[in-house]
Amino acid sequence: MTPILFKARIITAALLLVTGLVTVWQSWSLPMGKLQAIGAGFFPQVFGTLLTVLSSVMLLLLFLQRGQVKASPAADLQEETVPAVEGETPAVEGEEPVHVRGLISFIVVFIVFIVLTHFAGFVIASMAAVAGAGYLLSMRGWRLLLLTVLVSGINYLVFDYWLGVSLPAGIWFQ
Amino acid sequence: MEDILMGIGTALSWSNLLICLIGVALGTMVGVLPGLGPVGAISMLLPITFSMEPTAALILIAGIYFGGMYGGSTSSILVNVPGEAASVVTTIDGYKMTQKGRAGAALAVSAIGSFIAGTIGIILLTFLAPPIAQMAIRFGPPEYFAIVLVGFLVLSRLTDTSLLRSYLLIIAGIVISIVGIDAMSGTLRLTFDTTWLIDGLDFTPIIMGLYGLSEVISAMEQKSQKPIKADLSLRKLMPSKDEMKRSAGPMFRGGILGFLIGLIPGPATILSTYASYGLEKKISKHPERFGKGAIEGVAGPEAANNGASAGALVPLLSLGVPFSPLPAILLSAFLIQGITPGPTMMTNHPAVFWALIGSMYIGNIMLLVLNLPMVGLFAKISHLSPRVLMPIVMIFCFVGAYSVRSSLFDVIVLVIFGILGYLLRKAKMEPSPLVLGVILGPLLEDSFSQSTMIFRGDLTQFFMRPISGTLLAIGLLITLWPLIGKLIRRRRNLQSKAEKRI
Repeated sequence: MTPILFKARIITAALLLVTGLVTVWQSWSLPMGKLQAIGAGFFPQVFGTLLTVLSSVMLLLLFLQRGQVKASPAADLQEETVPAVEGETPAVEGEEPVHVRGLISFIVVFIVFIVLTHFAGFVIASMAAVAGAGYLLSMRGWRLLLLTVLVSGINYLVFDYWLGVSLPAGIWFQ
Repeated sequence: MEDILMGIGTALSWSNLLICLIGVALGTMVGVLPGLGPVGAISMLLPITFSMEPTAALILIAGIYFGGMYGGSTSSILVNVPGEAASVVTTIDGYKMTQKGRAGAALAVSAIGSFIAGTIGIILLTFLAPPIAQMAIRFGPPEYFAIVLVGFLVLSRLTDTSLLRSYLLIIAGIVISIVGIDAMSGTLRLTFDTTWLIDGLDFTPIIMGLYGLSEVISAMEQKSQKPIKADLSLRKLMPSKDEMKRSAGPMFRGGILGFLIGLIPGPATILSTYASYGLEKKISKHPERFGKGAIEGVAGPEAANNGASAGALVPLLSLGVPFSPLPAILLSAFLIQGITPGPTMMTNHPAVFWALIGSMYIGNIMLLVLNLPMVGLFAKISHLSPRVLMPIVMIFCFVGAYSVRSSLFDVIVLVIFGILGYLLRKAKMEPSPLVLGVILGPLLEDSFSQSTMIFRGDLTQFFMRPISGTLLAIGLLITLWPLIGKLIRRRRNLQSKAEKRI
C-alpha cells in the first residue's frame, strides 16, 4: 500500500465514521417503533450504527496495516487484481499523484461560481468559472478567451433559451 | 410481435429517428473521450431531456447509453487509452493490432461485434422483459426486499476486492437516501433543521459529482495535459476473410455471455469483458496469440460489453430495480418523465415501452452505419485536450445539477460528491455501491417496513414465501460462500493426505 492510498483510505474511513456518528446522533430522538410497525428512527439508527461500527473496523485494520505502507506504487498494482475502479486502468491509478493545490484551486473556482451566481447571475459566474478552470489547466491567451465565451454562451443558449431552465440572473441585475 | 412492430413504427418517425441519431452520435463521442465515462456523461446530459416528450427523451438517453459502449473501443484500439472502463480489455489486443497496422480491421470487428451483440441483447431483452414483468406483478414487498438485499450482497462481492469497503459504501448510500421526509410517517430525518434538506438529496447531482466532477478535479491537479497522439492511417478498414471467420464465434459467445452477466448486479459491462477475454483465451487453439494482437481478444470483449448493456436493462424494465449506475440514471430519466419502470410499465405506458425497444433496434443499426465510415472523425475527438474538455464538463455539471430542481443547493451537493468521488478514486474504492445504496435505499426501507407489517413482526415469514425465501437463501449462500469454499478445500486436502498415507 502506498502512502497516498493509505491516507486516502484513512480519510474515507474517518469521513464515514463521522457520518455514522452524526446519523445516530440526529436520529436518536426519533421513534424506533416495533417490528410490526417500524418507526421513522429504525433505519437511520440501524444503518448509522452499522456505518459507525464498520468504519471503525476499517480504521482499526488500516492502523494495523500502517507498517506495510510502502513508497512504491507497485505494491498497489499487485494488491488490486480486480478492475476495482471504473474509468481507470490500475497502472494509471497506481501512479496518480496528489496535488492538494489542484483540489484547493477547484474549491476556490467553485466558491467564486456560487458567490457570483448569487450576485451577478449565471452568465458572469460561468464565464469566471470556465476562465478559472481553463487557466488552472494551463490555458492562456485568446484560446482561453474563446473557450470562456463559447462555453458560457452555448450553455446559456441551450439551458436558458432553448430548454427553458430559468438560470439565476443575480440580485445585482434583478 | 405486434407490439414490437408498433414500437419500431413509432421509433421510425422522423423526429424520433433524428433524436435517436443525436443520441447515438453523442454517446459515441462520449465513449471516445477518455476520462468522461457514460455514467458521468448521461447524468450530465440528463437535464436536456427535462422539457422533452417522454418517448423522445427516453430514446435520446437510450441512444447515448448504447453509443457510449460503441465509442469506448475507438480510443482503446487507436491510442491505447480506454474511453470508458468497459473498454480496458480491448486495449490489450486492440492496440497491438494498431501497432501491426490492422487498426481498421480491429475497429471494424469491434463495430460489427458490438452490433451483433447489441442485437442479440435487444432480442433477448424484448422476449425476456415482458414475462419477467408479468411474473413481477405478483411480487409483494417481501419479494422486493429480498431482490434489493440480494442485489446488494452480489454487488459487494463483485465490485471491490474488499467486502468491508463495499458494505461501507452501500450503507453510506442508504444513510444518504434517508435524508428528508419519511414517506410512511411524515417525520423529518437527518435534515439538521434546514429547509434545504426537507425534500432529500436528489441523486442526479450525486452521480454527476461522483463520476463527472471528480474527473475535472483529477484533471486540475495534473497541470500539463498533453493531447493524445494517434496514428489514424485506416487504409485497410475491412477485416480479412480469416479475421472475420476468427471473430464470428467470439462475437456470438461474447454477446450471450455479456447479456447473462448484465442480469447480475454489479459493474456488469466491465466484468463481462474480462469474462469474455478469459473464455476466448481458454477455448482458443492458439492462446499464445492473445496479448499480441489476436482479433478474438477484440471481438469477444467488445461484443460482451454491448450484450451486458442490454442485459442490465432487464431488471430495470421488468422489475423497476436498477442494479448498476447506468440503468439507475435511466431510472431517473423515466421518473422525471412521470413513468415508473417495472411490471406495470407495459400496461400503463405500452407505447413508450415498445417505442424504446424499437429505438434500440434502430439505434443499433445506426451505430453500425455511423461507426464504420465515421471512425476517423470519432478518433479525432479523442485528440480533444482535457484543457478544453474539463471546463466544459464542469460547467455542464454545474448547470445540470442546478436545473434538476432550480436549486443552488444541488450545485453544492454536486461539488461535495465531486470531492468525495475524487477521494474514492485516490482510495481505489469503486463508487457504484454508494450510488446504488442511494437509489435502492428507499425501496429497501419501504419494502422492509411493509413486509414486517404484513408479517406482524415475524421475520421468519420472509423465508416461508417461495420467491423471497429462495432469494434470501441465495443471498445467504453468497455471503457464506468464502467460508464454505474454505471448508470444502480443507476437507479435500485432508482427504488427499489420507489417501496418500494409505
